[in-house]
Amino acid sequence: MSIWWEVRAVIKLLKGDFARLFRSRIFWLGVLAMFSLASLVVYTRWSDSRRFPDYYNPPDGVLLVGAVYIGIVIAVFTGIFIGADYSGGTIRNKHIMGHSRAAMYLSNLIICSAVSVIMHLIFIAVLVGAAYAGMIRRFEMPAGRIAEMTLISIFPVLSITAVMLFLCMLVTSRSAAVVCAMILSLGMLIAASTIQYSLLAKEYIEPDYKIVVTEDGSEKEIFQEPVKNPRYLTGTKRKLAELFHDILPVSQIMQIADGESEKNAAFFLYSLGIIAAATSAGMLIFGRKDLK
Amino acid sequence: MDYVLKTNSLCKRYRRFQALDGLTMKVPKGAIYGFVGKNGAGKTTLIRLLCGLQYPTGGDFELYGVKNTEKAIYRARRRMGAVVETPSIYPDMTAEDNLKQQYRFLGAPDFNGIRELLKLVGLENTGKKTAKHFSLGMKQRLGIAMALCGNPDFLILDEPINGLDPQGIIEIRELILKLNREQEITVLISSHILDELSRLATHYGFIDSGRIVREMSAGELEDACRKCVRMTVTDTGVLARVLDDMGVEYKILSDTAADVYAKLPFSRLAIALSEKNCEVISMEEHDENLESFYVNLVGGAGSD
Repeated sequence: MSIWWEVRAVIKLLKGDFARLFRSRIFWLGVLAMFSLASLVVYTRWSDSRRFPDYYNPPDGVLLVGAVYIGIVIAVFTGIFIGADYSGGTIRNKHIMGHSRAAMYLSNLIICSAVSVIMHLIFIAVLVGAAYAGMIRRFEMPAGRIAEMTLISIFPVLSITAVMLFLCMLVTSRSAAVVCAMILSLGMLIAASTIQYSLLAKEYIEPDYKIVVTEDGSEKEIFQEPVKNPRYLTGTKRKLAELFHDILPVSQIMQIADGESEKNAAFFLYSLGIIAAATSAGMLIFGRKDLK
Repeated sequence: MDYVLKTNSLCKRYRRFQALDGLTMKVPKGAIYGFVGKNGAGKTTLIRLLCGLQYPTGGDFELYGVKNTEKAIYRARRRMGAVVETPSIYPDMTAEDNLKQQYRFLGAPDFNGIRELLKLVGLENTGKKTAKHFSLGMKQRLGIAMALCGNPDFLILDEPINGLDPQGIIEIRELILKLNREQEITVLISSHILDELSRLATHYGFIDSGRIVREMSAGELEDACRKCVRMTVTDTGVLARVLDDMGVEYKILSDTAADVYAKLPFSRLAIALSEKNCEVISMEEHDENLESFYVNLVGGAGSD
């Protein structure tokens, strides 16, 4: 069977699945979720600007908040959308009409990736739109930088999608797939936050000082020696934490949001690696799986 | 004879359970092949293997002469349609939208033929009603319509009349006969409802413990299901001796019952038995049917 046959099969499957996507309730609920999250951020920013009119707080830092939490939306969407093929038995139709499992997997990857990018862009579009419409403070960074951050953050979002799809293609029960994907997305979020917290810990705890009243009645400041922070990671532990901080997609998004643009190439390569690893493993296991 | 499907010592093992154990069968072109077996005999497992949902652990099969190990099997599968276990449909879509979805997956350039398909399966008036609100029979017919989207010439139906009401059974039977006679579609149909199957099938395959125990045409089955006279007597030992003397074929069923496979001068037989102190209690003409043939073949215990 030629590559061309496979490509044609993927195109046919995409036609069908995109038609199903745009009429699926879960897709529109996902769109609504991302829109609501962005609206919530806009509202809190607007509310802050009204309460503290003199405090200039541009929305640069919240541009990628949606991307940080997008894993949860992707988990629910992928679990339900892909799971519907298993629960309704329609995956059998695709087999019987002669589509290969590789074509099915790739088609699902493209569909879920497209959905993830749409969700990601909805959040950013609402935020940028609100800023340009004057509802919230304007961005401090130029439009080119916003576009760059948006583009770079797409890769970790796609890698989260590839991992979720891997899980949902292997867990044939729809509800189990949703639960597993949710646990995984929350796990990634917690891991990223924990690693970031550990790496941000200072090596020494700020020296505390005391003011004591001396015998002659004057006050005297007594400085204490700086104390080594037990939470500060050193050696191999720190290197490992830094590595995971760069590899984990949610950590990547957090760093992109912080403006760590010098790591863009590394983030791109790590994301590509995750997508390739999850997709190859998924295709391999799904290709050998007994389906009912 | 042309065969649509040939299996050769096909095996499938799930951990400790051997679902198919060297199954060999042939489905002739144009046949309605009744696939008969107990629950767990391996019927659905075979269908799953044919549809590519699972892979055999031994043996092979040929679909239109293409072996399952060849890459061309994907193309060969395009010539078949199947309804495995439950109908594979999108519950939130109408019948028409379900078929459109199937057309898209098949890469059809347009939706021509959908109205005809809906009419064929009797779902042309379902309008905007979504499939989740269909009756079981309607879902089953929609499943068959989905399977027919690619104009297959081989249709596999796994228990298509399970759970249907009498009207639904008649509708499905008529549909299968219509597809076979008018569109010359070969049908492989597994069913527990043997009486219903006997009204459809032109060929039979009896499966037990993952093996085909007998494969035959409907004509051969008819010959095998011979008419007989079931006699109830006081002593079948005496009856056996008398029948042996008369050179008649018979089968002892119990101490008091036997099937006699011949037209006999029964008055002479009754006199002969009476002389040996054996009385005839009853005699009735008995027709062996598919069910009794099946029970005799694979044993009644646990059969459905």
